[in-house]
Amino acid sequence: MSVDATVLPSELLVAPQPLIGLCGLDTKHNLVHKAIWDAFSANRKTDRASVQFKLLPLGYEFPVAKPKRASYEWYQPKGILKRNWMLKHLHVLPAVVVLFQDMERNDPQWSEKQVQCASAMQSLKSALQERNTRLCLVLLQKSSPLPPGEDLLASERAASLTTACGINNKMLFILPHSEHLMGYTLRLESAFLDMAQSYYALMSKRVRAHRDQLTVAHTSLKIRHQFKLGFIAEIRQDFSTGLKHYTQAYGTLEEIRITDTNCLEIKTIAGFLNYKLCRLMFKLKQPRDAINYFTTHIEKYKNRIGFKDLIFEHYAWLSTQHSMFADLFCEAIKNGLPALQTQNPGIYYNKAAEFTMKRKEAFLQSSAMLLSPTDPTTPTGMPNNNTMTLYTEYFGIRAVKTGDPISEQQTNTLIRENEKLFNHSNAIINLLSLARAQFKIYKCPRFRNKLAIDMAEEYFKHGDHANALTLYSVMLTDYRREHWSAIFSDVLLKTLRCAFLMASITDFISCSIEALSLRVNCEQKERIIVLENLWKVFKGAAPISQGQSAPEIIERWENAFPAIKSPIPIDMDKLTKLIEMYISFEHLELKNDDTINVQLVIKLLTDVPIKIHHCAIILTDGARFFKIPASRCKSFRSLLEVFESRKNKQQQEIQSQHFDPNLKLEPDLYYELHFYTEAYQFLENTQLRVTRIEAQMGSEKLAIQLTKSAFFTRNPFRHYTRRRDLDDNIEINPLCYITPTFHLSTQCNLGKETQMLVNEYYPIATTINNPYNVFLQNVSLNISVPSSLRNQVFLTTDLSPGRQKLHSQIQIDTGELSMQSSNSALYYVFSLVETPIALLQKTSYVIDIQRPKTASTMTQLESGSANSAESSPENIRNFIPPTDIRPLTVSPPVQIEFLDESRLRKTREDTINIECALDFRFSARFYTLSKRPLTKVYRGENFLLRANIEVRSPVDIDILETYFICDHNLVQSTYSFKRKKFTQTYRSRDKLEDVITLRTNAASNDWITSKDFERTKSGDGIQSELFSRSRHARKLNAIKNMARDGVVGDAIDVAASAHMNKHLMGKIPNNMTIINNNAGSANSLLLAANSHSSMTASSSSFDEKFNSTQAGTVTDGDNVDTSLANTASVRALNPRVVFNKAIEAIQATGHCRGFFKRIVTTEPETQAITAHQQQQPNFGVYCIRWRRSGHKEENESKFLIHGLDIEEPPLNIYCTIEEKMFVKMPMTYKVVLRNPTSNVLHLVATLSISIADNFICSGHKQLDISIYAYSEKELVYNLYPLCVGWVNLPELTLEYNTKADPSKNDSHNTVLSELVQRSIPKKVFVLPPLKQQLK
Amino acid sequence: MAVCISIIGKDNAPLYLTTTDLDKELELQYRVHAALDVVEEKCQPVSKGTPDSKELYLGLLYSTETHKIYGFVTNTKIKFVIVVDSGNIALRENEVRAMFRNLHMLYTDAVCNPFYAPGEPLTSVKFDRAVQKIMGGNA
Repeated sequence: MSVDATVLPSELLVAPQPLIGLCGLDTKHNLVHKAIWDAFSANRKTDRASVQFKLLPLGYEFPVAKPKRASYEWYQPKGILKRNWMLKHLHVLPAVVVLFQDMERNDPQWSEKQVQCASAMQSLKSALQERNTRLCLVLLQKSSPLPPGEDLLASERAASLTTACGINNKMLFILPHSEHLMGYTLRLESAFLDMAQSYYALMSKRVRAHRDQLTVAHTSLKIRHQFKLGFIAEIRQDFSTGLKHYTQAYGTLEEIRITDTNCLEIKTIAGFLNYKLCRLMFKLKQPRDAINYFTTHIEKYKNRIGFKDLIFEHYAWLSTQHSMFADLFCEAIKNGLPALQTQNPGIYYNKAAEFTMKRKEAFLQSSAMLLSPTDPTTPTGMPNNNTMTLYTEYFGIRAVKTGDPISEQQTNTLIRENEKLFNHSNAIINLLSLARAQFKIYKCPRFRNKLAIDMAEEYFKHGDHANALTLYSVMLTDYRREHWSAIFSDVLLKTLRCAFLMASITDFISCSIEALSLRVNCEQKERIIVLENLWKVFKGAAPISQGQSAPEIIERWENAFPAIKSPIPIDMDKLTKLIEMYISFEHLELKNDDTINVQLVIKLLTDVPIKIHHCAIILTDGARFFKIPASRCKSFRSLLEVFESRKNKQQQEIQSQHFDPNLKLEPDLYYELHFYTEAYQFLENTQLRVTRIEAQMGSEKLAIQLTKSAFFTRNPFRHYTRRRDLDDNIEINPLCYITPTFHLSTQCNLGKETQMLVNEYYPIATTINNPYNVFLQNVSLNISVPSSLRNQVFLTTDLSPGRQKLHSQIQIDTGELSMQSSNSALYYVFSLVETPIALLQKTSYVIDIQRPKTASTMTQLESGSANSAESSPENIRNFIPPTDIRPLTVSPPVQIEFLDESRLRKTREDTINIECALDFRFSARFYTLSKRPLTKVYRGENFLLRANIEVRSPVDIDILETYFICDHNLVQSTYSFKRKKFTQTYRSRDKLEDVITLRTNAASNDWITSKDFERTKSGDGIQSELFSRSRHARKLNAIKNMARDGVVGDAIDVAASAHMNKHLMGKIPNNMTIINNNAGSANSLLLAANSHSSMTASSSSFDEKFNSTQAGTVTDGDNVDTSLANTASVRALNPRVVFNKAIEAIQATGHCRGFFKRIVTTEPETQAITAHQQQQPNFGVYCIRWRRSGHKEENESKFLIHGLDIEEPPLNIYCTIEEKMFVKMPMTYKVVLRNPTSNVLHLVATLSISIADNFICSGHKQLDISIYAYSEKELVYNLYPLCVGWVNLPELTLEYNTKADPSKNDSHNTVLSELVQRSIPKKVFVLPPLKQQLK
Repeated sequence: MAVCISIIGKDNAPLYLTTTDLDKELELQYRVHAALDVVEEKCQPVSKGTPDSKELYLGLLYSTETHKIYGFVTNTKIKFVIVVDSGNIALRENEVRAMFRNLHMLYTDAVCNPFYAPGEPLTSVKFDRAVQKIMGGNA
């Protein structure tokens, strides 16, 4: 039993439970008994009732009941709580005693056993005299009992047994142990518990009875009784009653006046009660009350010190109170109580630790006070067991004769002696670590750190320097990050001290170095001492610390020196800044044969000089690391001087000294170090970066390797600080790019005077020049069309007559290029659109690798040894360059590709910009014969196509020929008999006009496509021409037509075209050929030649579809003369054939006819058909052959003519007049009416000459005509012009003969008259009489 | 009135710290430093939906046997921590609030100085004098 009065006894800490004694069980020898005992005692989970079972051995001695006091009147108890009371009721005195007996109900020796049992029972009864302990008997039987009443023998025997034992028959239980043991056990347990409950209820009643006898004076007894009641209530699991009683006891305790003598007892009891109260409050989910109660409790007793000499005891008590409360708090949290950052157990642990510290302090103080005058040997002479003399049977009372000073003195000495045994430091550290654990949960890192510092300090005080050092050095990093310099300095110096005491060289050195920094709060004197000590260590001597060079420390240091491996690596990045520096390459970009110059400017951030040697930088090209030692060095007074010197470089070269291997850095000076190495040692096209700076410090015996990453960031707001002079106005090149040498230069002949035109094969001659003294292999030029211009711009190298293979990418291999030689390549660009063209030119060659050789000035670090430090995460992080110094854009980009060990390919990309100018602006319109705009075409009717061409070319061009290739369904005839002449040279803005008469043979619906054509052809093998004639014979009548005008669908939305182009890009088959483009109207015609066709040219090359799209007409020729198409020999990715001459393209199809159909090219056939039904057909292609004046190359511009809807007319009217009319010369005016329908037409034709007296007319004035189906009728009039000039012709009107054909009405007549208006000329020009006529 | 007044920057590094008792300064620094835990916890948004409260005064951060520590956070996350002696029962919370308000004003005046670089420790003598006045309780 501890004498330490402040410690709470264990019986107080456990949760009180009813005690039930089991006797008669022989667990050691009897397996059955053991199983039963286990069933009761083992695996008590929370779901089982809280009971404590105790195995009572035979002859167990129960505590003897004290004789009852009749009256309390004169009774003065010596203390409040007896030490043994709680223990007795918890562990010694059971509420229920259960006697187990093996007795089968049909046991033959029943009576004997009954006697045995009765005697055992009797002995128990006698042992428990005066107690209310319940006794009960459990019979252990093999088989389960029969239902009551059935087994007469058993019930009879049971009755006899109960009488023999003198117990109530309710106290007799039978436990069958063969099966369901656990279930029976549980039932028994609850029965026992009931008994226990009644026992404790009775007990509390008795205590209460005592209490009633008490008078006012019996304060301590009152407290005792209340405590007992509370405790019993707690045993009965009646927590709220327990709380009530404890609260009363606590309240009563406050009534006692506290003196020095009873102070300890009162505090002890108050502590007990408070503990119980808080415990119950937490249990009853009143954490707030518990905390408040505890706080007031502490407030109340905080200043009740008691004996001044034993003040440490008071602190011990306070500490225990806190730590116990913290334990309770923790337990409550474990049971689901949520805690807060500001209110968590850690706080209480922390306070407990603080009080323990105070306890320690107070103890040390008091013993120092006491021991100094007296003989120090006396306390040690005290035998230890003397402490037992202080023991009393009451809590918090010592066996001291009050009022006897000597005895008191002795007691105090004893207690102090005892206190000496207590390991304060351990207790403190233990509490602190508990608190740390709690603070970790409640997110208080800084509190935790503070506690760690406290712990370290305690370790330190305790003399455990190793642990202190570990803790301190761990905390160093945390506090370093926080930038609280005062705190950090404190921790650092303490760490330094620990390292010194522990002779931990590495820690000592790193702490010393850090302590040199100006950021650590130190005097310069101290820094000098630190530096001196540091050098002592470097020299292999133990440092001296404030005269505290105890011999054992020196010895320790001496032992430590041989174990250390020099140099010791120290990462300066992890330490507080000691050096301010920046590093910069002299040039951002370097050629391969230049010298790399790296400049490092250093300034110390300390006020003591530091000597370094072996200063080097680590360069990296991304994969490998190179170490370069410093070669030059120079010092400056200010940064300004550094800049100045940089400006006049030559001077600097002279001034700067060679790098002194032992450089002494003075605190006020700036040092500029130079590092040189040759650039050819690195691969081309790499970016060099400085990763680290290394320097050594120390002597030969012991040195340290300082490393610092070259990571540089400018301070924010640096422009506002005038004191920080290092980083303003500094131009820093964090990277150095070694530009690759490209050994080729290319030049294009793109002169201003030869501007490229649309639809022209524009030659580009590129000269490839090798000005270097190297031999280049596989020189090649790769030119590609940007994807945005694919299918509009093409490339070719071959201009053989007739066709060119077109590509969007070409490659020209020129093979090898020897030293100082050049070569040239020629290719052609062809564009369908007027646009600036940016061709991508890739020049590449293969060259032997010039292996980077490592020169003597630098050493390549092994990747493995590229320093162990390198692999540490901090370093790797440092290698990631900050975003603001990301690779610079270098132009022109050169790609380097390693082919194998010895060769590499260099590729450079350039763009060639070509402006493409328009050749012609083309527009075409349809007109009727009477020169009105044509809106719809009637089948069999003649109409005009008027093509207007405006030359837009900036250079003069010759137009060689223009012609129109019309669709198969159209018949073309020249409008006038004037021969077109195109010999002239045209300039920009010159205009041309061409008129062509066209007639359709088929209406839109009957439009023959190439497909129809092919189908029929292959179907019945009729000759194509014959076929088309025969098939359409009924429709094809040559009917002369008075024309009306129409507009050719020429203007097509450019935007739509662009869209379509894009859309088509992915769909156009590779082997598409493009014929044409109309830049002006964006009608383009593309002829696709299928070069991979397997069919033979002669037999199957019939078909050529002119599939047009909105944007461009793509002709998906299924088969073109294969042999021709394949003649193109240029190596290309997408072979294309362009038919330079449209007429040749038509001819190449074999059947020599153009089928122009507006079909969305690449759509499936079904869609194409629907498109055909909805859309207008194409009438043909208009071609212009031209060339630049003075050039030979002919070009051809092609424009697609979109057609109009062709309708079936009710009647075809052809009017024929003689070409020239002369006055007074009779002429024939013939009108042919053709019935294109299958019905008979009945018409009335009237010729009215009443208005115009310009003619004398003969013929039927009015005539009824009937025209049979598909036949025609001629109306012939003879006219005799009377006057010269423009004269109106007699007006012919046609009407349906409603009599003959009643189905026709006026509306039909209107249509008819429109038709007449459209077809028949109104006026003619009558010429004056010919000369011979006049004669 | 106050034992220690400190101004702590955005990155939790101290910008200014003054104490009445130089001997205890280190201990107080530790306390103020640890108080940042509570400040950080209190400054955390309760839930995403709720906007940051306009209240800058954080109230009592924690108390020890000897000291009470109060906190205040400006909108720019500058923390003010005032340490008050626990024995000073007469000091009401309103007065602490007023101290913070005055301190905030002083701080804004100090940082408005064009010669002051944000993030640097406050070394202005005038500011120091004014803060000492607040500490004395007669601001």
